[in-house]
Amino acid sequence: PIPPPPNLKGRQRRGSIVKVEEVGGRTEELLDRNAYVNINANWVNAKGAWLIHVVLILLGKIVVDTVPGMTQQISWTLVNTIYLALSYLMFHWVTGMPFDSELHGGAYDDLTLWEQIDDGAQYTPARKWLFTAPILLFLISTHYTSYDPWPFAINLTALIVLAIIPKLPQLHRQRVRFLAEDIASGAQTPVTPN
Amino acid sequence: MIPPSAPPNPDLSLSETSLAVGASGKNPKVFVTEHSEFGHCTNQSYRCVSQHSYANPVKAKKIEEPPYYILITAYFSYLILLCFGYLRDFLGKYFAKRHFTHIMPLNGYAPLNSGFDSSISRLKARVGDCVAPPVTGVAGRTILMLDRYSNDNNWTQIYTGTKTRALNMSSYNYLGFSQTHGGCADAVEESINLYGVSTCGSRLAGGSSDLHTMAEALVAKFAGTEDALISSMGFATNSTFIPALVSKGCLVISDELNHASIRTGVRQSGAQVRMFKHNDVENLDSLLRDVISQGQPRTHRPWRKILVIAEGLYSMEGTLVNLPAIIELKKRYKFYLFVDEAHSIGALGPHGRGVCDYFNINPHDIDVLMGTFTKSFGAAGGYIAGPKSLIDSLRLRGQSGPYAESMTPPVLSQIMASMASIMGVVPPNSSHSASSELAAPSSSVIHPGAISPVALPSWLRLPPSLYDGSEGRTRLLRLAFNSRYLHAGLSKLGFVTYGHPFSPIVPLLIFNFGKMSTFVRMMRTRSTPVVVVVVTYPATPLLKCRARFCVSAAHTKEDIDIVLRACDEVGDVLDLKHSRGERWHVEEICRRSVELVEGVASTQCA
Repeated sequence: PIPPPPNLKGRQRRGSIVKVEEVGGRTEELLDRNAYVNINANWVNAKGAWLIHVVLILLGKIVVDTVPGMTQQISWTLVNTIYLALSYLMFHWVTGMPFDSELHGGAYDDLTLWEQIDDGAQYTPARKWLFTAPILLFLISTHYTSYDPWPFAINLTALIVLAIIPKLPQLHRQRVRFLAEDIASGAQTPVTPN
Repeated sequence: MIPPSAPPNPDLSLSETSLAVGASGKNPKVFVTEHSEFGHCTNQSYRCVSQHSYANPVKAKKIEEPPYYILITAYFSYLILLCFGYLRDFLGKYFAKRHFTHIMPLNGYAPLNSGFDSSISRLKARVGDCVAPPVTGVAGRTILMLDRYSNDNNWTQIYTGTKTRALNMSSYNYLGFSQTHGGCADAVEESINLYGVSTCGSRLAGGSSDLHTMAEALVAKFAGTEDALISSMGFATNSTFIPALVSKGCLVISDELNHASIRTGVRQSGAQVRMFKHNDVENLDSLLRDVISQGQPRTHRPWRKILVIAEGLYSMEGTLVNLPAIIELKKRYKFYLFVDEAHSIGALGPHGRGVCDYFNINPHDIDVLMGTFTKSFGAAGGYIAGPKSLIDSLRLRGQSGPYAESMTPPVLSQIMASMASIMGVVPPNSSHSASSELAAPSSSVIHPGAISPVALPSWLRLPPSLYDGSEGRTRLLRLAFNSRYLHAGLSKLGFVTYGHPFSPIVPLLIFNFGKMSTFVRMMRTRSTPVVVVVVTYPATPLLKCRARFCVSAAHTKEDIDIVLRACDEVGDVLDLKHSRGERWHVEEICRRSVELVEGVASTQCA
């Protein structure tokens, strides 16, 4: 077994391989988040923000179809996976806000766009649509691939890993960390418990 | 007194060297100076009463969206700016290191600015001569600007040594009390002789004086509440006293567009915050149902206190709070209400007592009334007015009491003099009908009413026109006319304006950031220069840059005509007229001004 790193020896605890950690749950961060309106995230409730998904998917399908030698199977699989990859990048990878982050005192720096929508409230209309849209696209793509095993497997895995699991309410503000060192430098201000 | 027969030519009064000879023996130089601080206007038709009519309510204008090409070109201009900014930074880091040290690590230190910040600061440098022009003298009806020019794109400015007197549409001077001559200025000088410039202590640590007690009683009488306290700084009134009202376990529901001082105070207090859409009472209603039924976040216990904070007049939008509807909600849900009357006190209402006066609502219906003296009273600082038990508690628990300096005596006397001028003083043993109001028992004090002479210190002597309140009433009427006239005039010219037609703040939408500096420079270099304020992101949304006119009772109708003609010409050059309503020619607007203003009040503005 791997010997524990020196800074853990005093605590008599082993470092974990996988750890699920909550971010952004402190009271101060909650209050800082509510100081101003979050313009980074409230566009999902604006007019046209739902329709744009359909429009972009159709445009993407047209662009992908122009590639010579493209069959319907590959085309729909590609559109599905590219949509899932880009929406994962936008909603679940990038954290923070491009504008006005100083107004919130850095309280949004650890939150992804999905977690910022509707101030963290679950089961809101915008979240229901964003959850449903990839599923509908998956159903359409499985219809057009005639349930071939390989494309089906690719589409289903991409759907579950990139769209379903990150959007679950149970994973709200949770981060999965692998072999995270529990580093606590002596200079860090102790955080008051909630 | 100024002779009514020969008002000076407004253009003439804007030059320092002209001498308008008055029929009285008054020194003509003083006469011209007074007119440059406060405009003289005897035309009785240029007067309006600021009052909300429940039978024929006037609402704020609906937000008009400009044509698509304006929005697209505005986005495009931001995009070009950002792209060029990033490109310049990128190339500058390699080829012109000397000028770009602020975005590169240096000597082991991290860069001073991020890439995005430095683009924004370069953006601000381009318009640097428009955002903070140095001025001198009092900011009254006109203002004296120090001329300067730049040879290196506004990184440095060189003073020419000359000064320009310009028409001032940029100062919060609603009732024109920003004057160096007059009753208030004399009272301030007298108070410095008696009290000095400071009481040298905080209020709870030896800095209280009888002047403070008198001033606070006067403010309470003005606002119509039992008691009031005064704080020496307007921002600090909110940021130090809101933490004394709410704390952890309480909920604050504040409007989306509330001022930074309110947000600072609420954040300091540790209370939970929820925001409702600007002036949207249905949204507030559904939010209240949500928060009251759910309770505190994790424990779902009931909230200790729910405080709804709204402003009387919003300074960026020019909208008024929908106070009657919020009072109805208050009766149903029983929350506490805090109204920040920073801009509306002294500027709204037939007696100048703010939004309560305007909507004819009893001030006792509102739990905490807060206001500032900076805008309508020509002073500084802020106050909180409310029931005596609340004010007694705030004096001890608010952070200003033990830690902040007490209000300085000259400013206190300016506050007392200007408030007394608005309220009017009834001499003792007079047969004036107002004396019957004072004979009423103290439990049923008539509000709003005049004050008795004992409310003012004996050394504070005001000239007769200020003392009996006639000058104050005239100023209120003039302000109401000027605000409605400018609002209606700009709408009829075709500009998109926001806000309530009666508000003394008139935002004119420019939409495109690139046009802002040109607007300011064109207005500033006219034959009668006009000084305006332009506001952009981050104070306003990205595409809604605006020029904000602050109307004053010191302006005359001719001054507003000058502004309308200037906007007409500049708006044609810059393509700013995107309103879809009816349009009149600017000379017709100037001719039919009274008819236009009456039309604003009688029809419902949709």
